Amino acid sequence: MKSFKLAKYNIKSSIKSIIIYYSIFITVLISISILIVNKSSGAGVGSAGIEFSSMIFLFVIGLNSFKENFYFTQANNIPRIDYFKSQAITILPIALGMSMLDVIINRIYNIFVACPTIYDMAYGGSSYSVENVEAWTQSNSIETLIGTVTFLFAFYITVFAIGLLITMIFYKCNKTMRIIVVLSPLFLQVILARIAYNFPNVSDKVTSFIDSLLGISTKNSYMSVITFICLFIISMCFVYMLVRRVVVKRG
Amino acid sequence: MGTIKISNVSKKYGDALVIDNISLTIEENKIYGLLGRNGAGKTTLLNIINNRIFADSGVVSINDKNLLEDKKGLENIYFMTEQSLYPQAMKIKELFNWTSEFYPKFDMAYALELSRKFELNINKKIKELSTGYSSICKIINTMASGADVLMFDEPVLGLDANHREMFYKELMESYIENPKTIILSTHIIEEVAQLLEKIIILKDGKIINEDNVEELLAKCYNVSGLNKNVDEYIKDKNCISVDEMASFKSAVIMGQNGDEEKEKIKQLGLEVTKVELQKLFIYLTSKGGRK
Repeated sequence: MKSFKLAKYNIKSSIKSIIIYYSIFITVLISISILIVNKSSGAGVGSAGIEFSSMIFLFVIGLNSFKENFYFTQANNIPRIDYFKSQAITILPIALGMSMLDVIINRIYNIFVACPTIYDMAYGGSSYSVENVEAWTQSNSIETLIGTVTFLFAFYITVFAIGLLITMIFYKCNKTMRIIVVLSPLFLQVILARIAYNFPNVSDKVTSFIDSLLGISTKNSYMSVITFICLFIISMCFVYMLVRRVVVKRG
Repeated sequence: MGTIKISNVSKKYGDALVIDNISLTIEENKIYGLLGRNGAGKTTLLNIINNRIFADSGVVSINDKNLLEDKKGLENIYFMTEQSLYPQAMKIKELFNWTSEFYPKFDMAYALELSRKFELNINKKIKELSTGYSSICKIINTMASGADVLMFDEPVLGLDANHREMFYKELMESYIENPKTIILSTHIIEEVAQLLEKIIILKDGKIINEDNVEELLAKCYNVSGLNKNVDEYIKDKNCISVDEMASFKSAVIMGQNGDEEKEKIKQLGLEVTKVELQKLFIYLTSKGGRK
């Protein structure tokens, strides 16, 4: 019960940021639309994957949703397990609402400017290219709409969970560990590049494996939905392990 | 609510042993004073009771239920910390509303009444409050929470004398009207001495005294008079402190003031008074004090 109340608090405290984000987002899209529509040379201009901005926004929300919320739960002697549950509950309606809103915004934006979603580019029937924007048509079938919303929803909850996990790792780590965590993606990239260079077969297999996980070749978006949900669950399991022993820091 | 039992609790920060195998029982509906010098382990102990930090060993239980396992154990405890844990951008009235969500017995009318008495503007954001008003805000939220156990860690930090007096008065009134367990951790012993029923004195992470205030104070007495007479009286006594002013001396004696002592005091023309809790505290927690 407390986790629902806490989720209500989390959602209420995020609403303001979401409104500000969409105000800026919509303003930018309107500006782009006006510029393109008013320009005679605007024909053939397009954009793609504008939902990436929502993904970045939710990642930042994830990064910011630990310390203050956790301290507030501690001020009210709310068990850590309830805090964990509340975080999981919070992201579900936010991600669902944002994915639906993004699809609506995308469809409206498409009236003025050709703009496929990530889903359209990865799983859509007709391919989109910058050189031939006008040849691309967006499908508005129920299947596409549901596919886009579920894909975005799964994508959004995953980036939120990763953001939350990263901020918790940072909270738990000392300065040295924080530096290691910051540098680890760089090391990982170097190692992967070396592997790709020295063992092309391995690289091909990894690429093929990721392709299968995301269902890109088979044009099956539900594969990526399952993959993202699994990633969300794995990230939240780590969050749970960290939150069980996390403490209020002094000062 | 029941009793809070702390059994063999220890806590280390690095190499420093902050809480050293403490066992303690906090009884229902009593006002406790948790006293100790800086770094004695008071805040750490309260944080452990409230699960905000974890003990390295030992168990904290309420009604024989381990707090680590019993999710609902802390529902009836409100712990006001020196550190502000509230969202800084939150308005005070919002804070009251949210606290009432998590503490169903939260008394909004009482919170508003206290806000009026303390002249706290509830439309202000928490980050806009001064140190004193930040303490007042936390005090009001704690007192109105309706929890059966209220814990205050340095509640009067930054409060002026008027507000401190008002806090003690309101706390006492609230306690009389609605008895509850109250734990006050503070350095201002003189001011809270009148409120306390029991005291827990910590020194170097250990409990050196856990007594009723009256019983503890009855174990010692203060004699004062001319220097030579006081010196004569205390020569074979367990004297824990001596204050001298010109030809007068005042000494605190640990022990019973029996018939024999009373007779001697009469002969030497000394005056006997009750010892102040603060004086006793200073003795007990000073370097040469009891371990």
